[in-house]
Amino acid sequence: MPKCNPIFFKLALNSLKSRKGSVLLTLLAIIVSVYVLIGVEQIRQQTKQNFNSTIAGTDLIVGARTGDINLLLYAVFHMGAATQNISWKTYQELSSLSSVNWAVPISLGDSHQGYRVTATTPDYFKYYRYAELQPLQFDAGQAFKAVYDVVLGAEVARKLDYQLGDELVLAHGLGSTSFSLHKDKPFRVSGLLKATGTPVDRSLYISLPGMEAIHIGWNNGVNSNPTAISDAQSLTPKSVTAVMLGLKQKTATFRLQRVINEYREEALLAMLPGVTLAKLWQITSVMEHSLRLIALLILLSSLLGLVAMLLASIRERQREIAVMRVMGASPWFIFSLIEIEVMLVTFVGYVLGILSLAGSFELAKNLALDQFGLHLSANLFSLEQLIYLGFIMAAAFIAGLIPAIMAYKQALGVCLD
Amino acid sequence: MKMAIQIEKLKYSYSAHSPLVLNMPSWQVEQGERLFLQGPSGCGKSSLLNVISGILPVSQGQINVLGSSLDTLSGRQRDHFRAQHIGYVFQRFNLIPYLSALDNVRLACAFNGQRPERHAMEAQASSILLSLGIDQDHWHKTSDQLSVGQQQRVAIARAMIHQPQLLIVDEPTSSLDHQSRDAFVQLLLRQVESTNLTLLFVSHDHTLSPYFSRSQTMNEINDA
Repeated sequence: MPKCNPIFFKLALNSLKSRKGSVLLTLLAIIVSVYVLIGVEQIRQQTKQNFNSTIAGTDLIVGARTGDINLLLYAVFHMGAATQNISWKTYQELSSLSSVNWAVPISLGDSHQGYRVTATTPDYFKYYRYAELQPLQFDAGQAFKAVYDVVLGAEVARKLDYQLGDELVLAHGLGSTSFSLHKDKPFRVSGLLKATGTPVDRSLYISLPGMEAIHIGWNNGVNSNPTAISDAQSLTPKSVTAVMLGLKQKTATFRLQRVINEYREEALLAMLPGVTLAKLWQITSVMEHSLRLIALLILLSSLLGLVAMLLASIRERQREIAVMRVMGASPWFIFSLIEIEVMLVTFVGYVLGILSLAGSFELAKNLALDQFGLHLSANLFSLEQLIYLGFIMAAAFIAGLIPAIMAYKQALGVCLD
Repeated sequence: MKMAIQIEKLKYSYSAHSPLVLNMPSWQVEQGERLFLQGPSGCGKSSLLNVISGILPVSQGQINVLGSSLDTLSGRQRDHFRAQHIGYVFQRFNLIPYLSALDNVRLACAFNGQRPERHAMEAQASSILLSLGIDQDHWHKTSDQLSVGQQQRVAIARAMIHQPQLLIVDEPTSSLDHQSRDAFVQLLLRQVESTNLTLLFVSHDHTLSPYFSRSQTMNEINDA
């Protein structure tokens, strides 16, 4: 069969070469569309992965009764505010449960230049995990020890240009232009965290006693009685916003969740962060689908460009088709020749598109982590990419049917005059 | 004597409602004959050649070429038959424009027969090009870099590389001047001289007829 003959490819290749100008333009369109399609898909996947790796290793998050997404938003993403706190006594009871390995309380409500402040215990740095159970790491310094120590997330330190030992003043409430500053009690930077690509980067961490100390004398958001802390006053908080729990055995998670949700003393909600993260991601799926749709439309339009180019060429190829026919080429041969040309251009476009995408990812890697906290890794040579390649080639084949069938018909009715 | 082409009661029209283009009660060409077929354009010449080479299917009548009944073969079988047994030279534009002279000849081999034979044929490509006076430095040129005369000679090489039993040559000299025209016909005849090949040479130029063993006009054989 002529199809196995290397001259068949030579024929297709030379035919394309003879129409260099239009082929190159079409190729460019395909490169761009593959770049956009795969690029959007990669960023979408990695954003999702980044999102899902915000918190790991925590089995349950407990807060006052509310919606689970709401609890996740304020406890992990530091968005929105808790309507209710849970009592210190409840925290103590939770941490003393036999199935609980560790319990880390967090207390929210203050901010610094728009960045949220989380009051917690030093255990937070020990037990908080993200991505594939990676622990938080200090870029410099250490966890808070003194009452007025503060640990900064990577973005906070970078954007606001803080160094170890710098002093800063926290604001009461959450607005970036809050006028109620805790001016009388400045904090000293004791540690800087490494970038994680999670909301941790955008947070400040102080100790629970620190949080208590700055609020002494505050009532209803107004500093009514500014005083120094007297040693006699206890800095143990009366309540916390949420508690993160790690269990000794994962299998106990659902049972403990039920126990907490049915807790009699106080209305509590326990949720599984992984499950709730996935739920929250669902909300973004509309966006996800429209991005995909746009990328697909771009691919479609570039394939149509390829088809238009070949259709235009069929007329001028009338003679050439007649010559091949007379040499014994079947109409199917002519059909396949056009299809091979379509596939060749598409495949080369795909390869070049992927290569330029890999190059761009390599260049943009550091920028993406710095600016957006997004871990970009070009995962361009996976099984999934093969599926994409298959899909693109199939789409090219179908689009190629139009000029190929036209050439086929021309070959059938070819007239040797 | 065996027949190369046998036509009985052949009728052909492009569609059911259009007038007949071919209406041939009976026509034969013997094997090994060098036939000159003369006729002005628009007398069904092209259609006849399309039918003989098996490109156009026949619906009425019988046509037997080199012992095969083309009217009973499928399109694919006729393509295969043409690739193996028929050589064809056009008036102009004989070569695939983006392939070199040598690749044009090799492409003809690619449509042919089995792999080992094909390799032997490709080896022959160079010798046949040389025998037609195409020097090696022209082999890798494309048709736009070759003269019309050179193109026609490459076309003969391409048509004869697979040693066809029937060579159809359709108005090959119309784009050549008087002198090169005679040289071309002589070269062609010399090329087929020692073979038992049947040559069907079609032209409107009756001054070429003395070169051939027999001469007919389209009007004599086609009633349409």
